[in-house]
Amino acid sequence: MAATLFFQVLVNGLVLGGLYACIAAGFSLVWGVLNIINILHGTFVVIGSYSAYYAYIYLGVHPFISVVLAGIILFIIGYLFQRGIINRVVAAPVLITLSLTFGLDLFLNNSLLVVFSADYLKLNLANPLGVLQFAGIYVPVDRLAAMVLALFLTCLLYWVLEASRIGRAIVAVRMDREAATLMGVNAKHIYAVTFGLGALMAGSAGAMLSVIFPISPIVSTLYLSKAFVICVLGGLGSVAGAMVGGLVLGVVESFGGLIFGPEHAMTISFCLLILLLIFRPTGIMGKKGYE
Amino acid sequence: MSNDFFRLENVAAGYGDIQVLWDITIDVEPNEIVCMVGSNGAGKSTTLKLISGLLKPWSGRVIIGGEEVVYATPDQILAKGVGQVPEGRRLFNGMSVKNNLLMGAYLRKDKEVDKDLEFVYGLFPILKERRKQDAKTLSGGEQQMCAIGRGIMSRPKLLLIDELSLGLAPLVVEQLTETLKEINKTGISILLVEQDVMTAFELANRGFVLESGRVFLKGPTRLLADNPTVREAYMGI
Ligand SMILES: Nc1ncnc2c1ncn2[C@@H]1O[C@H](COP(=O)(O)OP(=O)(O)OP(=O)(O)O)[C@@H](O)[C@H]1O
Ligand SMILES: [Mg+2]
Repeated sequence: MAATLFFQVLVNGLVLGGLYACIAAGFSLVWGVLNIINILHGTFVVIGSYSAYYAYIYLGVHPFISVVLAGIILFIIGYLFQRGIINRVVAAPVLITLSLTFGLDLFLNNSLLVVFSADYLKLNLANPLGVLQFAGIYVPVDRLAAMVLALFLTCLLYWVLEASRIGRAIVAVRMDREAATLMGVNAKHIYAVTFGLGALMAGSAGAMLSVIFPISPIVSTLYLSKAFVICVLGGLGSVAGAMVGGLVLGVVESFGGLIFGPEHAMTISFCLLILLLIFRPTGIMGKKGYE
Repeated sequence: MSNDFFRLENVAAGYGDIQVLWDITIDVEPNEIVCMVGSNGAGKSTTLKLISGLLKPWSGRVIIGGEEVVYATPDQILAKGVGQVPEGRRLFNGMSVKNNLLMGAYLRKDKEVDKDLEFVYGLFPILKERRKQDAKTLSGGEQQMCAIGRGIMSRPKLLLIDELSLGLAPLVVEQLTETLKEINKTGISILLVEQDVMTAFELANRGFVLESGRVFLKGPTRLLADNPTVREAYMGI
């Protein structure tokens, strides 16, 4: 393979991977802390995309600014879902919470279909930032900026969990709910904040993805399954793992698409998942996030 | 005259349908160290859980700082100035020693948290050395230091300590005892639950003996230490 082509495909993969990392970090947080496999996650991404789309069409707000808007909207939606509904079964076995979020997703996703229809929307920026060229490699600047922003958000989430008061409470509740309660932590609130943060990451990623991919409620499962694969790749509940897993998946898909054709991207992800489950069930990083 | 700083009055409580505490009346005065002793399953930890709001009383009254608290949640109790060092330390594994200590100050919004962190490091210099280390890698004694440090980071007026000496070597217990006296001198009252009656009586000036969920004996520890029943049942003399 020619060197330029190799690097072109590598760069494409990394750009995609940065966005995947952002999606997966939120999914992983919710799974790791709340032990909930959140089937709603893909739909949250789509809602973020629609928010950015309509903010651009009607208000002229650039999608990169809408990242904040979409994040806030999704945080509120996520917080309310957890506080109002999911908290009731939060300590239940994972199958119960999975069924619940599956049901909620059917409801939410179908509501989106009713409101927005399944037709694909494409957000075309009036003033795209152009294309960067370096040693024969082409990178659309909008995509690059989206990736940088996504990775920045992922790092921000990492920082929040490591070094902020709310992050400490999230980890503390995960480790020992009763002891955290004795420290004055309101566990129900913290669970809802955690779920809200997961949704925020999904929504922000969705806003950035709106400048790259067509938008429709039916793409939600695509994002959900990628988040799932990345979590297994990177190890559960660790933001750093989601970052590494996301980049790896992006690159693998990119090269796989080149070799086997882009229509096989999902097949490649799941083959990777199966191989990993067989040979390295704890993920690339070799450890679970909260142990 | 009854003491309004902290008092349980004829409290009954339990888990589900099972009653564990009957008619418990205990009190702690400002700046006092009081101990609660009793055999396994007597209801000591249950009493502390009740004080902290993890368990609701079935009947009776809980008075903290001159006010009766009714249906208070753990964060409200903590805000009223009652902190707890739970049985078995219950540190947050996967979090650094420093972050564990900061969890104790979770409810505080004032600017003096850093100062108090230094105060804890002053009491337990080893914690400063280990501050970046995962709490689960600490030795048993260090874990208890961290748990006590976390307990005082909330700036309590009354600190509840469950099983200070559990699983620790006598030398470490001796050291912790001295530190608790120091903490007490800063104006923090202590209610100490302890299996090791000798240690408890050395530290506290009053004691309550619990048996099967009732207060069976109470009084100044120097008198309790001479009580034949206590000597026989708890001190093995
Ligand atoms: N979560 C619970 N659910 C049901 N019963 C409980 C629970 N916790 C404690 N008990 C029961 O309450 C009684 C008192 O227990 P508690 O832990 O208060 O005793 P303790 O005096 O602290 O004993 P130890 O010295 O062994 O710590 C015991 O009979 C115990 O079985
Ligand atoms: Mg106990």
